[in-house]
Amino acid sequence: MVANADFWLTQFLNGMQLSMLLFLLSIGLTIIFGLMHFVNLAHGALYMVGAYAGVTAAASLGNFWIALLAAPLAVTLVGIFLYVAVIRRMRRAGPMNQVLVTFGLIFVIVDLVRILWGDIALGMEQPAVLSGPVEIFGVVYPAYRLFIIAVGLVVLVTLGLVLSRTQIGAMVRAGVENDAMASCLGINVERLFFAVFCVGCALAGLAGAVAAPVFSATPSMATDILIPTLIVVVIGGLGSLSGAIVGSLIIGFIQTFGAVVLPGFASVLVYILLAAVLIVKPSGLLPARS
Amino acid sequence: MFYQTSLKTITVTAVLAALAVYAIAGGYFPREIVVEIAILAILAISLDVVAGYGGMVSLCHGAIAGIGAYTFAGLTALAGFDGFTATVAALAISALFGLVVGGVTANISGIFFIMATLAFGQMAYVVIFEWKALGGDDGLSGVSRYDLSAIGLNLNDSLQFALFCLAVVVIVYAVAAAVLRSSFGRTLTGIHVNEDRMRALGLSVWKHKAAAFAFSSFLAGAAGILAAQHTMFVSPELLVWTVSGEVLIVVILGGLGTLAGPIAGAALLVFLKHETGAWTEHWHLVIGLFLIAAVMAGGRGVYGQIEHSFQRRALRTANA
Amino acid sequence: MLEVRDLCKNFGGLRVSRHIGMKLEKGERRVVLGPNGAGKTTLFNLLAGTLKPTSGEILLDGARITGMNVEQRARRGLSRSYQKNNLFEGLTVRENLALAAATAQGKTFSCFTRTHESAAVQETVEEVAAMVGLSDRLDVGVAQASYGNRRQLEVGLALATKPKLLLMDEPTSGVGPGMIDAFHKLIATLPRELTIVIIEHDLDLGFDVADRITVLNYGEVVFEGTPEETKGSDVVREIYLGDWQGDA
Repeated sequence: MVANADFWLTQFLNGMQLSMLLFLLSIGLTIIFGLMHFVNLAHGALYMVGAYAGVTAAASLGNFWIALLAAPLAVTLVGIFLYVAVIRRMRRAGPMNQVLVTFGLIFVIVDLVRILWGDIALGMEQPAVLSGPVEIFGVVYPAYRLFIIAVGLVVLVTLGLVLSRTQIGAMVRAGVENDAMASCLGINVERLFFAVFCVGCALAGLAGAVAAPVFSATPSMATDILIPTLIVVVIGGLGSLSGAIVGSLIIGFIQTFGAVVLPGFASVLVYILLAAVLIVKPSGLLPARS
Repeated sequence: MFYQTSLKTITVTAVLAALAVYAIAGGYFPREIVVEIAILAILAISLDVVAGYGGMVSLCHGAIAGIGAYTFAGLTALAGFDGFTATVAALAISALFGLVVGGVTANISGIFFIMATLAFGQMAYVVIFEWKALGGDDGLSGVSRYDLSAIGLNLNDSLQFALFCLAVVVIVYAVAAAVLRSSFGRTLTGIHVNEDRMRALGLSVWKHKAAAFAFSSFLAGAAGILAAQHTMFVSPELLVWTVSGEVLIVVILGGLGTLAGPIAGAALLVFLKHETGAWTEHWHLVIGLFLIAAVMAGGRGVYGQIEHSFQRRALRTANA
Repeated sequence: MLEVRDLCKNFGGLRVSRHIGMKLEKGERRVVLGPNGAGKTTLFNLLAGTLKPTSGEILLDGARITGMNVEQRARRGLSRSYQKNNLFEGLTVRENLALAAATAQGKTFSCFTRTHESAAVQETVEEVAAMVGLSDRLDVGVAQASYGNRRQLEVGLALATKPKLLLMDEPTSGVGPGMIDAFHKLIATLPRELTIVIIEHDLDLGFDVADRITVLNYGEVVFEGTPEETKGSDVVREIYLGDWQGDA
């Protein structure tokens, strides 16, 4: 085992990178879960669609940055279709039915992607400006991975400001805390849910597009990322931004450091942690609703 | 409340008889399908016991069957134990796992309960995946089928094995039906319908939930043992959460809380999988759409809907 | 038989139950009166174990049950009927009562017997059904039963466990005058060894049935006495009874 600082710094950055990706996915899922009481297992599939949309947009338009805009847009459109066709009707259907329907959606979306894009992994070019290595705190680290971390941090700060400083943010927090009461106060909760759902989809799409140059777009993305995201949402706490970021950091770092320090055990540790939280404090570490 | 109605008896008998005929008349491939259906049916019956009658929707039953499969495979192929001992051990360990999961999750409900079972199932998956002696990613081969030559059966013959598996389905159904009909089964139904009231009546709810989950896991372990013998090979893929998802789908497609429905659901899913798989490799798409439609239409399942219509007709004639 | 000592329950800064004290003899019929929000149902929740008190003690037959949970207290003979029906929906009246009787008899783990259909349990079912007036409704589904029948079943479930202490939370809530009479008769015919605490708003029923009355207001006991004493108390008149005289 290498014990020098460079190695650990690199691992720290890797952990941050994974945490930021998890954060982009989990923030959408946790607000949807906390606000709409809707378990969307297809969230990972939306992430996958974002990756494929990004790959296609980048390949056809030749521009990474436009692809980064096109992907969230495409995924939001897919999300709107799903919302209107399925999700809106299943909102009060109970957890088992939501699990089943969204599980079915995973099947459908993954197979549609396989039909349209085939089964082999599709790569995406990193933009020239970000494709080289960068020296940071004495280590050499890929610039693109730092970009991923930066994207995550920007989204975190933006959402933090929106939730705490804006009217709509206050409405979202009110809706998460008590949607019946918020509705009585005149907040159009249905429209709010829809708006929040769209933002969640956009973030999933962004995460997919941002991840594609590093991880490549594959059909298995839909389910690979789902469990870690669900774990983050549960451990972090439903419906809260702080819960999402804390949960993402915990899982991101356990998985990253665990993989190098205690490979086999790290994966089990995450599930043990999940089970422990569910048994002792199902609402999670930092839930929005206490 | 579970009652063994004539509709259930007719359905179970008809489906299993049809499968038996299909196995007898068909060749190797139909027999493989029948075995696949039988194993899935046993697993689905076990899930229906806790989910349909106990209200505990589990996403780890695939993993439990996997534990049964690996215990049997490990004890026979690696440690050289005989089939009978390995079976007893596999059933016991599956039941023990279920007892722990059921007990520990007894006070969790809703989506959190489902996720907790998911967590435990994944834990089992990772442990087995990382256990080098059990073959890891490559799995474990060299599992042999029961030696029933003493009673004149050769399970290495595909027809005999298929019929043997169907016989196990009958036994599992009968055992589950008997337990659901008993004191314990009625108590479980009571817990499902109104857990708080059962507590207020003096019941130690968590103990009964744990016991129910243990019983269900015992049956799921049986499915795993047959699965191990079927392919004579076990792999960690048996324990991935998506397998548990498919078992739940089978129960829903057949009819949650009907006990007979899961058997029909298993046949339905496997035939659907093979038929659509014949003309497109994207059978997941078809199953997915089917599932979404089934759940959005009310989620009673094929057999469940039939049973419901019969019950409503009976109620109407009774009130007329 | 039942003793409550200085029972307090706070929800954060809100003091819902304040220094409640009660002492019941075996076989006593105690009626708890008070305006809405006085903390009557909270008291029942504390007695039954649904809520843990902030401080104070509860003793049942001399034994300290304060730390015990709901099922432990139920096994010691404490039974409860709820203000809002808390039945086994989707089942018949018979199945409901059988669940209660069989669970109380403790035979819930057996996979080999059908206790719920045994002669002993069915005997209890028929006995309780006769007591609450549901004998001809046994095979009716709860969903098809009238509200009054469901209320009767609610009490029936509590009685089917053959309790020593019965807590009845507004048994006649929402029920028509004919059924109030039926409940009146039911309470009068309950075994004399059974200790009963009833929360009631129907004053005719309450005053007629009670041996003693406890009056709660804002979480504390403001009066305790016989029905006559209660009628004569100025405090009680002011906070609750008003000019009510009953069937003088």
